[in-house]
Amino acid sequence: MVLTPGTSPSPELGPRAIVRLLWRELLLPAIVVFALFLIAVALIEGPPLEQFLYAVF
Amino acid sequence: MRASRLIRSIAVAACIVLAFEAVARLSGFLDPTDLPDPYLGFPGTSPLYRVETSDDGTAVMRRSPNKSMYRPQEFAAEKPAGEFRVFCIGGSSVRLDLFRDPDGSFSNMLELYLQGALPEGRTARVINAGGGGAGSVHNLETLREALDLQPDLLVVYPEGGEKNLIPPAPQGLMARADDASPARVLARRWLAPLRTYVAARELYDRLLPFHASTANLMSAFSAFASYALSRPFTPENFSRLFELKHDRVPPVMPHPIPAEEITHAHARFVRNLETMAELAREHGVPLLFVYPLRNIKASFYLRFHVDPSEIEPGKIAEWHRLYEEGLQSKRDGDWARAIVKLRGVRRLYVEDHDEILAFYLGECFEQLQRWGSAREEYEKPYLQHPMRALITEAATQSGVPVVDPYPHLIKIAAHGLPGYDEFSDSFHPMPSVSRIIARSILDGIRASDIVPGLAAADAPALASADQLVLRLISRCPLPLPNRMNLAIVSGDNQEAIRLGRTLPREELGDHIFEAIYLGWALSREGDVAGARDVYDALKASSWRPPSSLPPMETDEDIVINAYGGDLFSWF
Repeated sequence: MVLTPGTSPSPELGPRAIVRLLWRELLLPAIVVFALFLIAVALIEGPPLEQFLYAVF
Repeated sequence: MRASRLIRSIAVAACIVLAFEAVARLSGFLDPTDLPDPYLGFPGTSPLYRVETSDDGTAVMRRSPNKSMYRPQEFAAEKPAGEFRVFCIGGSSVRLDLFRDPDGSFSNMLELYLQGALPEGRTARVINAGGGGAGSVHNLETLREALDLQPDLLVVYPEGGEKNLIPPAPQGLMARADDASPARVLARRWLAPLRTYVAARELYDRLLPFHASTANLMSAFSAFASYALSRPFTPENFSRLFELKHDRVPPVMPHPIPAEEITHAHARFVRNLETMAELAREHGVPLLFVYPLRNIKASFYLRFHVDPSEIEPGKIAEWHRLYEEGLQSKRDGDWARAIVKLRGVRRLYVEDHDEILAFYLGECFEQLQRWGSAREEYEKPYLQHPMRALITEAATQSGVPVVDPYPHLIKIAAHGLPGYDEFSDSFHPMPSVSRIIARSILDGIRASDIVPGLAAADAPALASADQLVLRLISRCPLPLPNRMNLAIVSGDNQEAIRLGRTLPREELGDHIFEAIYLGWALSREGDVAGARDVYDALKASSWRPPSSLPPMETDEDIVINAYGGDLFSWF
């Protein structure tokens, strides 16, 4: 079956669909939220922007 | 559909953060009180005290492991009924590390006095919240935390740690950055307690190669020791920096610290004290400021340079001649003539800020046993020190009472000249002076009517408390390096050498203070072979001076690099 947003996983949910579901519903939000925290750290703790850009790029 | 998915993702993200916070907190993972404090006590710093369980199973507050610059303290997490809880906030004179066991700090003595003075049914608990090198930024953070710990009184003793808030010191750079971005400070204060934020910060530190440039600054003593050992031996190695201000004319040079830095830091100091007053008032907690004391017979912290603009135009040559003649008369023991000449120097100033000149005049008057004049000169740099005026300014503007222990200090000092019998160095009080500070604070509490029903100054209970304090003082030994320093400044080099010789030669590298004082005393006695032997012993030990040393050849270099640009005369 095709899992569409808003539908409940059916009993026939395959391994690929489970991985996709975990990625989309759990890992992606976790990575995004941690990235936001990293950006917050860079903005709050880091050097002024031009030095930050120079260090990164 | 998209909106609902976004909401769901946000909810999931929030749940992940919450779950991470809960698991990390329960397991003690990324506890900011265990990790090195990246904020050096600045806003966002981890708590100074954290809840732990005592042996009897009750919840207590203990000093956090990463705050070793503060004294270990323990007090009930929930204040017992009847307890009068005081926090003494400040720097190393509050902490008083030299006198830990028994505790010779003024906060401990204040507790003993309060115990005797409080009305029936009340107990005193005075918490020593003094941190080595703490300035007003750190003290403000400590005060914020203390306000959440059920205080009945806050005592703030601001002192020389304020000098660390001047660039290029790392904390000075941080203070300037914080002053420039208040939003960053606020965000740090809110986010730093989150374990998720700590995790992101740790990762960020590992990923990014960028590090803010920090000046490799040395304490005065470490500069003295490094100077002695980083060059080929001469008899002057141990004495040059210690005796820089001994009967010598100060260099004429521009102020090493830009005036704008001083003005900015002074304004910050006043602002921080006023914020303390405002916060205390909001919480309904009384606050007292205390004027910090200094050893008026120590020349270490006195300004040893004169800005050319301070001397009347065209008079520098005359100024120099009179200074040299005055000091020569002083060396010759012709005190009266020295006074005349040195007063002549003073007349050549547009405005007299020459602290070392007042010190030299104090020494001359002392030799003539004109104690009143001697004190007038010795205390001039202390009473005119900017910190006193700034504390007065902040206290007046915010309506906070200021305790002044100095008049009481004069009364216990021989001839009214507090010196090395009262201070273990230039700043730190001996236990006998801690007693004076504690009694002055008690007087301040009484005068401000902070505790109704406080016993009168002559109450028998207070006399008993005083006996306890005096017994405590008699059990506080002065550590060896301080005894050696005291012997040298009193002119008893032989005693300093005897004390230094109690240490085995092969252990001198582990006792760098004692070793340097021993080398100094031997140099003063003209024992070049002995001083060389100490030098060789230190060279052979594992103690190593820093690999790169700033220049310290000229008087100007030494003022800038060993005496921190005479910062102590501003803070």
